[in-house]
Amino acid sequence: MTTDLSKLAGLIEEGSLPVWLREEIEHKREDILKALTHARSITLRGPRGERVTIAPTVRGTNVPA
Amino acid sequence: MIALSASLVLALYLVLPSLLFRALSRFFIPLRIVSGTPTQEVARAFLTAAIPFLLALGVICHMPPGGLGTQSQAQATGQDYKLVASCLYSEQTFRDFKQAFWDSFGRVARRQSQFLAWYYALVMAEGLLVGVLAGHYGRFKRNRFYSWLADKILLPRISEWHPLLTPFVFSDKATIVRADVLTTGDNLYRGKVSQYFLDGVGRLSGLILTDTLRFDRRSYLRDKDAGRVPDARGYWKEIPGAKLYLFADKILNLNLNYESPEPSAQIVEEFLRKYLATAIPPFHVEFQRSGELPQDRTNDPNNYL
Repeated sequence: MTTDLSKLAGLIEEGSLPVWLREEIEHKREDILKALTHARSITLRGPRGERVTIAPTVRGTNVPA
Repeated sequence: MIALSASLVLALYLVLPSLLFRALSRFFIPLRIVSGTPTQEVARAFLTAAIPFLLALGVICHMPPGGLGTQSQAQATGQDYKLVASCLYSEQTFRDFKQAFWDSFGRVARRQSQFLAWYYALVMAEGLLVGVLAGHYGRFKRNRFYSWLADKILLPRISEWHPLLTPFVFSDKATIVRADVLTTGDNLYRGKVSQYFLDGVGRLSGLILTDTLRFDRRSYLRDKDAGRVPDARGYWKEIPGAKLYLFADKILNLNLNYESPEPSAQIVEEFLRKYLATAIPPFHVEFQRSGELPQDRTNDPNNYL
């Protein structure tokens, strides 16, 4: 292999999301943007009950607003 | 006689340790994914053996009962090796010092047995260590030192097909590798990559897809020509049968997708930043598996759309 494994790994990992999450993000793009703009969180739900919460970060912390 | 002795030394000190190293490290990483020329293989065998060899030498020199002991003992040891080497080289010398040769040979054999025991044990330990480090690439790769070590020493000649067609780079080994494969017959297949095969020089020779779908291109084009607006997703047809083997020489291109059941928050955040592609306030992502409830936030309906 002529490239470094770490570079290839980074490329592979980029965007490696479950199909449902990718589709949810694509489907709810505007909703996500609106929620973040208004400092609200938004939760995306998966087919097996998984939940991904996208939340604005309070300045200086890593705590949801 | 000297040629036979040289072959025996080569086998005991290079070939056998190399086999031991491979046998142990292959528990964690399949060796067929590492491609190299015969010269590189020999160089790798030397490098593999160098550290355990030097360590074993150090142990034997400094630990009783294999220690060299006093100056006179060291000289006697040296004499034993000289006599054995001379007798192996010359048949006349062997005839002249037959009894002395066998006495020296016995002592040399005992010392070398001790050395080889340490040497093989250290080679096996090295094989296990390298195997564990290389096999857990997905877990350790975020460490900068480990990443450098893997790039330069552990896995510099890994076949690119292994990280591409398996969840090797992911810490979550349940990650699914899904491929859209376009073949020379203009057929498009989609499925999970179950297994792949390499030839002797590390080139892809074939792969097996499971849960395979075939794109019904003929119907799609017919409907398109008829002026309909076909939804491409409806033209994927299930292929009966559990596994589809595709020969590599029939593959035109591969479109690979990696579906991690539980993606890291970092990957989701990176994807969102790239996908949203606009100025947005700082945010972070929390992932909850099925059955897990987020603390403090479950009762707030405003949190969910």
